[in-house]
Amino acid sequence: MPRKRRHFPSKNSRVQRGVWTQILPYILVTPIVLLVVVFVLYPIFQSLIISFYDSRSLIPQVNDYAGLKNYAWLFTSSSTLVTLRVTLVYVVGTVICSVFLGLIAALLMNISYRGRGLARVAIIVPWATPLVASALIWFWMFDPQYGIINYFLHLLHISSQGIQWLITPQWALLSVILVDVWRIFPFGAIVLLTALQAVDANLYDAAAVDGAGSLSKFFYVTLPSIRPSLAITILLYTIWGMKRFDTIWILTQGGPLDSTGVMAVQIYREAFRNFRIGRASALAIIGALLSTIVTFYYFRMGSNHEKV
Amino acid sequence: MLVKFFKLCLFVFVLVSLIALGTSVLCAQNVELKLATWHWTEPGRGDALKSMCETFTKEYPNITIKPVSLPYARYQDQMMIQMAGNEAPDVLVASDIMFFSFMNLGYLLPLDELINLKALEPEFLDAQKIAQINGKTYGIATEYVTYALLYNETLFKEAGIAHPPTTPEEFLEDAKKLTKAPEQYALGTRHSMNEEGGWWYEMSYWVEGFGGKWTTDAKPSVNTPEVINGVKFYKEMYDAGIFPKGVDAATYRRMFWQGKIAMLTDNQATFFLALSSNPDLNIKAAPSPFENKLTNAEIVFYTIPKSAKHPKEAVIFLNWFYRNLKDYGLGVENVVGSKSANKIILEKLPYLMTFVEAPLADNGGILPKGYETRLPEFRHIVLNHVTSVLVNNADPKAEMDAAQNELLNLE
Repeated sequence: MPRKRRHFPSKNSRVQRGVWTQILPYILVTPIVLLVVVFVLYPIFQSLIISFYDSRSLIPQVNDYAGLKNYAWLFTSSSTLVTLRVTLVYVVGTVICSVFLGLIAALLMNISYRGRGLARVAIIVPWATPLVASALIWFWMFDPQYGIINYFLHLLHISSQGIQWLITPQWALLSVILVDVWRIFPFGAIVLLTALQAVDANLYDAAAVDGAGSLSKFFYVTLPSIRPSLAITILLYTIWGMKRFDTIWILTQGGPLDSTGVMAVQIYREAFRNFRIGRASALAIIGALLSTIVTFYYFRMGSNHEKV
Repeated sequence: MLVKFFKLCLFVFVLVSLIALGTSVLCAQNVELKLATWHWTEPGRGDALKSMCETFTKEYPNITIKPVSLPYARYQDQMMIQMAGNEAPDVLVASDIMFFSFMNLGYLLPLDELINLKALEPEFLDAQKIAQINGKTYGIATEYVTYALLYNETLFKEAGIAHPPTTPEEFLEDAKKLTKAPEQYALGTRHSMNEEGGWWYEMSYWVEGFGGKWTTDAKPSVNTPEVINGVKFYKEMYDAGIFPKGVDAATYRRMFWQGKIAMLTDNQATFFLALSSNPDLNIKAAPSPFENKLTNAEIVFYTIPKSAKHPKEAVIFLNWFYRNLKDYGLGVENVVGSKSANKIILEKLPYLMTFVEAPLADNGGILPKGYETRLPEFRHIVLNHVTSVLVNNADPKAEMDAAQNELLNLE
């Protein structure tokens, strides 16, 4: 039987293939890099440029250049401090409550019982409901005179006068946090449920052999196993929380007494109400920096944990 | 053969050139005038404007009006971007708040040298003087809606009240009689920051009634005794529980036409909306319950942007439109707050003269003179302090002093 002749590539074609192998990854990432440059980096760069202008127009002119004036205003204005405080309380509140509720929901959806499928669907509803519709429904539910929440408070003899949820500073921020937690916790629940289902059952068996109870299993098996998913959920909740605008604007527009005036609301107010596009851009740059720091910190924590 | 072909090519070239030249000459004669407004899609006003434009084109066949339509919510931003990019419409309709923003940014043409304003003067609406800044006129006020006390006569009779209140004391007394919470309230009013713009109209109404002015000589004057009295009165109404708290305008207006609210301080559009929603409603309009009877107005200005492509034709249109303003008024069924008032409606419902006769507060009421372009900031500061009075029971004087201080330091 004649031996099959083996074809050896020429030196030239080997070189070509080598070059191609080197170039191909760059060609493949070019579209996404272009997208990021055009739709992310360029707008951020433009915002940075605009933040050095003090203009009442949406398109600043050359003579509106004001250097660091907007940043100086941000760092000296008492309203910035209020905005940062409100944003911090809002973000911490929504993240803690959403993660906690999401985890409980995920644990409940992970155990076997009749109607589990229905429960899984029901938990998704807030996440799937259109944002504006759900915010308006909550607005009605919070209505001090005719809202269902005050009706139940009255029925249960908790408050005969009812609570003015959205028009008093004491309650407005809490109400807004409540609405957002209700809306976003299903996302965490789904992510954590996926993580829970990936936990190796043998680990639980081994823990049981070692005499671990339910709580010990949760803290020493479940929690460490789902930690990466938990971290990414917290990170996403934090970033989303820092730029949340829609629900707050629909419910309170940042009021009363700026008690719900988070950063995104103040950016919108400065840009499209007061037409101070420079100040709004400066605030947006600070917001973006804070988001980047948070993201960096989370990833740093994640990598440290992996090393350990 | 080649010569023949060359001649044919030359003939075709000349023919095509002549056609192109003819078309361009015709096009040059036919000017397309871009008119930007949010009115185009409004049921009453949009139809009336379209009809006016059709009549105009019949009189001036070489000028056709091209509608530039945008929803109100996006109108100001879009127009700002277009004007900054030198892509402005030829005629630009602006609300009072927008008007000052555009003017301040230098986007509007002064009309003094373009239009014979002296000739139009007899026809000027009361609000026209607001468009004159530093001796120059930047727009023509074509219509405005005013605010009055709308009241449900049936509920008044049931409560044993013979006539609408004429003093603040009488108002409060009647309001208490008319309130049977939570089924019925005396008044519907905006009073929270999520309706900041609307609340400003309401707040201004009460403050002006007490003789207060947001600014005096172009400087903030929000801590004068008159303004403080207005705020105190508002707080008194708030504490008396005569209006449903936390209820938004859409809801309390619906309650008004359901007969669950006895009074509104609102404009004529709401009056007609209530009647069209419930034709059996026995509602009327009365002047504000104050001696000065002052009222607020929402004013509409027609302007010509600096970067308009056809300013000459825009001037022709503005002149023509203003001379025929009464026809526009007849077309717009519910405009009764100006000289373009619909006479037919006024004869049918004479009490609506309240809207026409009410004297306009300084600068139309809601625009603090000298701070017109900074209204959102001005309003936010004042209403934040009023909120503090309402919900935190803070001292009205201390709060208004603080507001004054903030306004004086406004950069």
